[in-house]
Amino acid sequence: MLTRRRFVQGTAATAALTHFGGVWAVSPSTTILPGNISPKAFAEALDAMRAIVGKAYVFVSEPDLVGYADHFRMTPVATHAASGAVAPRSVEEVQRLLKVASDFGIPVWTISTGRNLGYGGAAPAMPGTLMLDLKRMNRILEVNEKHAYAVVEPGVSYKDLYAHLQRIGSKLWIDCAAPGWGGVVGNMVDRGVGYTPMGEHFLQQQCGMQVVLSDGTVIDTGMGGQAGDKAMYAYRYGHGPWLDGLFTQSNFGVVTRLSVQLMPEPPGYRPYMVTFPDEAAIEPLTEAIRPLKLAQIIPNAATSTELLWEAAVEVRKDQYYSGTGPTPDSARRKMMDDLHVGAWNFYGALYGPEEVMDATWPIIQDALGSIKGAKFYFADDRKGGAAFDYRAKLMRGVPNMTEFGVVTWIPNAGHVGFGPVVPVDGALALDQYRKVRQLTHEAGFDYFGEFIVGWRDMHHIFMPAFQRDNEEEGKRLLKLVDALIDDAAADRYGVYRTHLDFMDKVANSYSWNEGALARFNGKLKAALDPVGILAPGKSGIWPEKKA
Amino acid sequence: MRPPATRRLALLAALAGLSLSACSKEGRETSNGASVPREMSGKQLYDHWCADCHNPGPGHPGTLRLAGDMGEENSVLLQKQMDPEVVKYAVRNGFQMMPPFRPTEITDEELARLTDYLVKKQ
Repeated sequence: MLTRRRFVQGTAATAALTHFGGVWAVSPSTTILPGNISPKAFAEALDAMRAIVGKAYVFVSEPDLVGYADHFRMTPVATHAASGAVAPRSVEEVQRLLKVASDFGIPVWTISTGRNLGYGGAAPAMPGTLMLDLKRMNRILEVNEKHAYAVVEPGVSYKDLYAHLQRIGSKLWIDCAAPGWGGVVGNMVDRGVGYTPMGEHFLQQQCGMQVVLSDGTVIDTGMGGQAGDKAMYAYRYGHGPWLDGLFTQSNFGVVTRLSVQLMPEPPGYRPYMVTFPDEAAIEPLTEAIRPLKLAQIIPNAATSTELLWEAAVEVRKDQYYSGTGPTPDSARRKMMDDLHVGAWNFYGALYGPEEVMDATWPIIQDALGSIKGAKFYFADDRKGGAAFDYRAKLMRGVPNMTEFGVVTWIPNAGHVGFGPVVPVDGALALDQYRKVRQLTHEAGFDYFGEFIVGWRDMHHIFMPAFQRDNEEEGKRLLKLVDALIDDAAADRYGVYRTHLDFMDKVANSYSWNEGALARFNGKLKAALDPVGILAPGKSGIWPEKKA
Repeated sequence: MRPPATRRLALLAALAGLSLSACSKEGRETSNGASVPREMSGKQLYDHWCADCHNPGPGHPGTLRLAGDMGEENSVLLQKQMDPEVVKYAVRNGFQMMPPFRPTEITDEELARLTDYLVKKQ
């Protein structure tokens, strides 16, 4: 294990590092294999896969598999332990690998960049699943400046795409998730969000997918069904049923390419922040946001961030409170004073010609300024502030890692996401906030939350931090999120995506008409993946007969 | 463990300044904007994978956390004497909040170059 002393020492000490100390609890002799697969058959399958991708890209040993564990796990590592990983370089290799997996009945779990750490990272739902790691498929196949799109493979991160556009002198903006190491394809098919005017990724950006089905068939969706179609990356629907949604948050196919529509750089950009001292301000703030978003007066993802999320990217908890449990009000007040932030902190931006920005700003100022205690800030007012700086980057699609700071709040932290979707309604927002915060405090954690209004809905993103090396704390957090899902469902709120540990539970919460939706998903699964090899358990969808 | 022959090849390639990998994290461009693989130096690897968390100053979560755990004087990787084994261990196994990086993200050859840069600062 890497100790503090060893890190600080900074010299080549003679004592070897204990490579697996406390990190990887499954030894090679106890490798968890897929359900009905014998060690001999598994070895044969891996040999066949090595013949496809090369020996260097089939991983079965502990050092290489550590990266396929859930780094922020709340359960024992074996709960989501992969049996191995294979990393293809091309669509043809994906097809051939799926043929081998089908022949041997080996379940595979697809990842692109594997950086969605609050939801399970690069780990599979079912132990023993073989990872299909698409990170090596990392080509940016096309950038079309005229029609404002790019075509990318799954291994391309936001940072990759941004850097590429910068290098070629493009005037196109991307829209990225808050941690810039996330994948363009992975986030899109998980229906993630960003912060520019194109922040609803799947709604606003996706235009045409290439998907490999479990039998190896490759399909291009939308206009791509017609070979060489000139509007393939301009019009997403094609003719007939629109299929793309089936391949989001699902296990019906492996997405190997997609087109991402980009935003032309506007002639002007003014990020702004408004702080509110009262915790109850989320109610009038949300009421003010709704008409502004519906009318697109606020064009980008309107984000209301609670105090601790705002503070955690600049300070640590121990700088304000050394006790256990939730941060007390006295410490919260001092943070607000020191950092000049509010109990709620709203971020938005103006885009366009100066005349357009000048015309819309008074409308926003009037609406938000009517809320008690509102204070307005522009970039010049927040120079040197990490929180404003990274928000200003996100709202113009510049990837960065500052928001990962929410796990610097306490030592050796991890976090987990809970994301109920709420109508844009002030009373509902306040009710959600108070209930989640109360349950969180009762469980001994700090509330870390924000409300993001993409257009007509509001994502309540709650990401509590816990200590990774405290097993009891992990169990307590697991119990908390479990209770929050129940509580939300009782209030008729659904969760929009979830961690591996809760996929079955959340799927079961969509239970109307005796689980008709789940039964339909099951029919699709049986039809599209009859052998049942693709990502068993993804979003609570399992094959009829587990591979 | 990967086959010894592969490791020997990897070592030879690293010594010869070559790469067995064809990753395109930093791409060369063609006329239509498509990226084509290009090898990254140790500094480029640091800038791509590490800088956003570990550079000095506000907004870098790795630096903020290390300041709390290890002291301000040990919080900036580029300003601290680094043990190569510590770098390699942390990248492959993770270190506290920092997750591990898979060989498909940072190859063994790239990790050697990155480590060399962090140790020598050049």
